[in-house]
Amino acid sequence: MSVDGAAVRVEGLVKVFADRHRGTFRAVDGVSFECKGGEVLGLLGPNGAGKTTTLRILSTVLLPTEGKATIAGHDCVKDPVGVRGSLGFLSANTGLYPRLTPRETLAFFGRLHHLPEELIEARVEELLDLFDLKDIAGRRCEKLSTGQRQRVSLARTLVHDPPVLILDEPTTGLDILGTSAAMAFLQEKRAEGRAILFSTHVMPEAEKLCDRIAILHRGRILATGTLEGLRVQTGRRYLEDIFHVLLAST
Amino acid sequence: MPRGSGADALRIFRMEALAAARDRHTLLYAVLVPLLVYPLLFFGMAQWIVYRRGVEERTVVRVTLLEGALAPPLEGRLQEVTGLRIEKETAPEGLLPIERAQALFAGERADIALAKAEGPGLSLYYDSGSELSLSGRRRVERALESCREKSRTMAATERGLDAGALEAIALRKEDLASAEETGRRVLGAMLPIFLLLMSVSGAFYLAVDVTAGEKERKTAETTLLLPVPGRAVFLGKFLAVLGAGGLACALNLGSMLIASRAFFEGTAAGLSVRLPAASVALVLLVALLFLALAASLLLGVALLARSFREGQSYATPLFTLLILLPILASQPGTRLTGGTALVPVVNATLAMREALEGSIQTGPFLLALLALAAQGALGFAFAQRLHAQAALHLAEESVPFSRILEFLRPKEGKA
Repeated sequence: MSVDGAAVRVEGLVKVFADRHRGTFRAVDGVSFECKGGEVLGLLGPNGAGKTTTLRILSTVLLPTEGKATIAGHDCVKDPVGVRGSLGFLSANTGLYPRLTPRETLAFFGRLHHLPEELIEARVEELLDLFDLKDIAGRRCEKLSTGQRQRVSLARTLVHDPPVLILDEPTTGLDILGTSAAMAFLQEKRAEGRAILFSTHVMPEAEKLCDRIAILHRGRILATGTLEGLRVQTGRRYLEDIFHVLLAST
Repeated sequence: MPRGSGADALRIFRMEALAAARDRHTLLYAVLVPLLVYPLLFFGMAQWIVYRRGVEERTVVRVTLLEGALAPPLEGRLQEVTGLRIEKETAPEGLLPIERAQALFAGERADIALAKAEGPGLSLYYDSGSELSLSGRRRVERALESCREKSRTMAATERGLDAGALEAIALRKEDLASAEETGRRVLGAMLPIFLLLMSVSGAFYLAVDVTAGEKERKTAETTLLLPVPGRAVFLGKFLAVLGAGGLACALNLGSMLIASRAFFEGTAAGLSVRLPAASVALVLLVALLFLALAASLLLGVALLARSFREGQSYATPLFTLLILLPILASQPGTRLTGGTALVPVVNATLAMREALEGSIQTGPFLLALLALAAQGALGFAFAQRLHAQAALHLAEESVPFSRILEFLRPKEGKA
């Protein structure tokens, strides 16, 4: 499934938290960006830069303090259920239900996304095939290895064929083969026309995969552009160096 | 696929129920314990009684007859009683019988002593601190009572009289309650406590598991992202917890009825443990209304915790309260009135008792049902309000009870 125009649109997003220890602080401070269908936008930043908070607002788990965000035309505040229906979201905090099997997990999400009952079984089998999960489809998720769980999680994000994928550090905990498979998966989904928002702090992954990159620091976007554009802007070749130059300029 | 919050809630309920059915702790507290507690308890009690009887029969009690205590026929009757070893003692001069008995007990030479009383009759000396002495007392009393009865009957027969006529006041006791009524009164006194305890136990583990346990397993955010309204998610979880508690209650009631029939009917206890279907239905209705409140409170409180273990600590004081109140409400003389019908948990205990006894007072009973429904609805609203706060699901630290009001106010970040 793909969408025309900006599948993800974020305008002046602000999120203020009132923390008991730190007092009031702006975790996200006026962030704006867009991501089109068939594009991978990388969100890069150190821990605490505001990546996860931004993605949680986009996934409707958190409400923004200010600003507006839409996913496939659905407003994240006014139509949260519509947003979740158009979104495949994966992060380190979106674990699998441990006592369900991969097959049950996929069917459960298919039903909650209101796929027709007669299509669910076929869709589940298709995803099990696609992610090479047939052999472990009847084993409880709590018994699976990290890589197997990640494959099930990726399959879970695609059950309802969403036009937008948001992946918060999807390669965390994966070995080299698992990481390569995840990268290949994202490239394939981009080719299908999906908009992919991809957060990472692994620079080579971003260099390899992202069409455009937005660099976040302390809740603000320091720069957005293609890798080539950022090279020109900073006079550095590698993303890690680009990152340091931008940080130093703040 | 059917759409709407109700259908989505049922899908979530089915998923939680499936997961719970694969969890051995939930199975233990919602199925096995409620089902097996009575058969095991009654079997254990029966075995204990048989064992104690056997022990008593095998134990020999030393009975010392102080000089001239018994006439030869009575002495002969005592000699025939199994487990009594009769010894005679000629006492040293100058000691009172009680002093002689004390000396015998101190020297561990007797468990029971019998002496001729100063007036008519006998004095029986025993040591209430000794199990052996108490057992001996029971056996001697039974033997002497039997002799007394026999002597009276013989004396009456010799004089051509009815033995009963020799009683100063002949009292015949007749219980007008049927065996079934007696059985239901016993059930009414005991069962509400057990049923409410089992209901809360059945709900407790799952309530903590689907809230604090979710955070620990890192599936709380997965659940927040489900493409359905938050109220459907909460309703699904609530139904699963309610179902676990209800299942525990139904199994416990069924187990009690079957086990008590098997163990008590036809025994000397004279109980008939049968309940009409209408009473069973009313008991289950009361249990479900009570569970609506209990499940909501457990879900709300456990949501404040970060891990399963902390969730148990948070919910345990509430659990204790939910099982202490039925015990207090079960005191004899406490009745369902316009006042007690309004007190949470107490109303459930007393309404359940009336349904079990078959002594329902329509007005207070209906008031109790209404109060239970209202309390359950309030509890549900409280827990749903907390559940709607995404900050509670995403919190990396436990939230102290003192901050609970903060989360009951409308604020940003709804689940």
